[in-house]
Amino acid sequence: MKTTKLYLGPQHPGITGNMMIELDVEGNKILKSKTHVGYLHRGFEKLMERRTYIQSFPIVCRICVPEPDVNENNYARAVEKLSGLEVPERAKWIRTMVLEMARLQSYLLWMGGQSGSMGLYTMPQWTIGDRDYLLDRFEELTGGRVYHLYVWPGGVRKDLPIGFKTRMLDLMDYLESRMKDYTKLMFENAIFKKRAIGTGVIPKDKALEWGVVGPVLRGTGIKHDVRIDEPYEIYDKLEFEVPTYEGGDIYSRALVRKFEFMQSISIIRQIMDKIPEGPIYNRIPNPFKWKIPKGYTYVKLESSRGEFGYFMASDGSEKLRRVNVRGPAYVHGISLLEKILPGSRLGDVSTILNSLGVCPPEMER
Amino acid sequence: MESITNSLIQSWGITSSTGAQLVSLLVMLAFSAVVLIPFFLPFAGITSWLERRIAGRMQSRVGPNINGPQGFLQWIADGVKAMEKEDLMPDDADKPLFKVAPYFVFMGVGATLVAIPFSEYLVLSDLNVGIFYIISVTSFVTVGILLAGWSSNNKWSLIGGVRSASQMISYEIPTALSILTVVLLTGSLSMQDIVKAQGFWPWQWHISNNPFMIVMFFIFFISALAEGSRTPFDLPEAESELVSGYNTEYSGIRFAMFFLAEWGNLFVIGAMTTVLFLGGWQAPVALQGSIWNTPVQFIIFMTKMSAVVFIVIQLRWTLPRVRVDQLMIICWHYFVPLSLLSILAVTIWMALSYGHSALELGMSIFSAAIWLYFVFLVLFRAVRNFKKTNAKLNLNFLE
Amino acid sequence: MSETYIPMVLMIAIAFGLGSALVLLSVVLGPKYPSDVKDYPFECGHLIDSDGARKKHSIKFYMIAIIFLLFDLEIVFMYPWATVFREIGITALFEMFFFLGILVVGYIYVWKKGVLEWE
Repeated sequence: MKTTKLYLGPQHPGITGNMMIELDVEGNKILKSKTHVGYLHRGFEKLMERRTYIQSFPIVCRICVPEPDVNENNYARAVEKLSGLEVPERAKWIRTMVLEMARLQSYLLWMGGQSGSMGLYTMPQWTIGDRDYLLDRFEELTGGRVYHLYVWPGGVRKDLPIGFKTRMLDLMDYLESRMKDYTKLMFENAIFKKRAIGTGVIPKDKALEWGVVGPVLRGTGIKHDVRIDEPYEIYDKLEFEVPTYEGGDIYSRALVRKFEFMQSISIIRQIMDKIPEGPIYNRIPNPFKWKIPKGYTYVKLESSRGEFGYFMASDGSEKLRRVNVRGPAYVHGISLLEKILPGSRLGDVSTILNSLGVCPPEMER
Repeated sequence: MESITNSLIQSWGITSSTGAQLVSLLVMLAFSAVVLIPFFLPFAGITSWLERRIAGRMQSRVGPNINGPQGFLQWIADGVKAMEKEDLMPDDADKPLFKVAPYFVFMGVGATLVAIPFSEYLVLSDLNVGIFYIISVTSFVTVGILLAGWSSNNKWSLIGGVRSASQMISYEIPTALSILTVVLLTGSLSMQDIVKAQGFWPWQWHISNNPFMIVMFFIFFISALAEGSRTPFDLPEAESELVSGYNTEYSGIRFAMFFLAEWGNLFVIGAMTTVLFLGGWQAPVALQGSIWNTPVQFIIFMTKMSAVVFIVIQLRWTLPRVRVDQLMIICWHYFVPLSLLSILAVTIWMALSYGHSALELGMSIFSAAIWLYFVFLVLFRAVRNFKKTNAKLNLNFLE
Repeated sequence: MSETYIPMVLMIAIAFGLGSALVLLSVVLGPKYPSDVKDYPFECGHLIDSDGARKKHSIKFYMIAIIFLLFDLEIVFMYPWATVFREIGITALFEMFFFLGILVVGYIYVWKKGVLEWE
């Protein structure tokens, strides 16, 4: 039987961002898939070598649109580690809260994308509407809605505004109550379950070999979370569970994310409850002449899509020598996608893409 | 129809047979034009507006509300906009077929309107094979979509068109089988006879003849959704899979014609469901002979049809779409055996209950109670949730 | 008899006329700025080896069409039977049992052969 060659992307409604998946299909079945990238390459890593340490902040937050805070935090921590800068206790708590808020809004965005890719267009409207409430909190905290530039080497830029705690807790109550609606509309929807269970399966024994991370890995039943394995910021002082579900299909990934959504709400409540008073910022020297000692480091954290790492090297000047970003989307989008797409159906491509959390801008930087 | 023609002939004093034929032809022409242009077009347009407003309400947003009162005239603006767009055609497209495909879809929907009875007298033509006629002219739509998919010379269009064709012809079998039970109960293929075999009260409708008719109703309704390519069966134009399916290459007014036909199909789905299962235009017997008879019948028909259309719209915004293999499996593995089984059950029930009118009435009231209970349950839950949602919306955390 | 079919022809003609009128209006009102890029088929922005869509695409369409034809023919036979079922009565019931029996045997055969499996 003759196969048909289909080019899914770079401009396709089922793909967020610009990337291309070249598919060989026979009828409805995919025989071969190949990912082509290069439509969004902006050369960020190279650009950062020409800038001072502070000037790189507007670049790192644009590496992945849905979660800028993850990149800011990683970059700031790498710079702190290289220069030996201390961070005040309160700043660490605020940073953790920002990370969890970023996780919440990223999961809201993912819920919309996942159900939108199956043709359920009510869900994106709801979740993106609710995400706006989170962005309101971001706005009053940082001044920006999408890109925040809030985390700074040595702390955070501003302290919590007056009355932020009550508003934040109100919002958490609201999001928790909305989760019931989401569950009814999406997670317990018979058609959603029918389509998600058994689709895009990643075998448990292959998951580590293929370099799978984050909720996708936890969806195969392997417990791995940077927040617990190598705690950063103040995660060792918080109580939370890391869920694992057996199965490795789209549905178990969805359940992992649903569980983590609720865990993030509880983490933010704990932070609002226990946050200590104190300074939020250790001054850094004149940023234009700030020289960082020679050395290299690797920092990582758990983003909403998995382990996110920065390798950074400095040569003792006021500019970075080399930076390498290791995001989850690269592994998931290129090697993993080519392995699990063959054998699945044409209609499931964008669903699988969404459940893996593939983000083309992050793949190419 | 005939009574109008006769009264016209009498009042104009026409005696010759050719004159009478001319008058009846003129009346038919006027009536067809009235049904299609000032009734069907606005209906399709208003449905599109209504759908967007309902979707807006369901998705916590507003929907079109600028043009006219509550955005009521949005559909006119949409139509004019579509006309003012450039009519593009790909270079390698099969040009005659590409141009003619939207007409097929449009004509297929228009032609169904001929046999749909709006009231006892408001029907264009009471064909004695009315049901057959409707089943066959809806295939026009399939042909049009297949042509559109093939002629575009685009892989997405091709897959969308072929998918659409296989979906529509597959679901024609459960549809035809479920209509068959109605024909069994009526003993006639004429749409008017089917309506006349029912009554005003819910237990006189075909859906509540016996419990298997409820099963048939659901099979018919779901298959009709699939034939009209409505969610959860909107695979031919699945956005996240096939870009836009068979109409990927269409733009401007030709694209609008596909969409007009889609919303017209919604009307056909609603009208067919109403006529076959929900008692059609049947009004209370007390009104017989009064001047209000026809308007009341028309209003009853439109109300029932609008209720069905509302359910179809609501389904679209609450369900994801099924996958293409699941779609086929639903049809061939579940609906076909189930409808064959139901036909057997209905025939056996008819043979058993033949002549026992008390038994028939009892069974009708019993099965009417079953489905009315479900309707009540849905309404009850909807009202309860609606009240709850309103309470939640008052949570004022935006200060 | 034939009079009942006149509205049908009229309706199709009016629908066709209406469609033509809309297209004609669009020709009058709409702009025309042809260009090469607009004339390419949409391949998600990929132009290099658009080899066209005029080729075989397997979806088991042939099988579906054949089964559809068989079933639809059977159903066409069943409609006249349905209209006279009440008049003939119990004899018609058994005749249809026999007829449906043959159909169901064919259906089971087709199912067992794996024609009704989709992937």
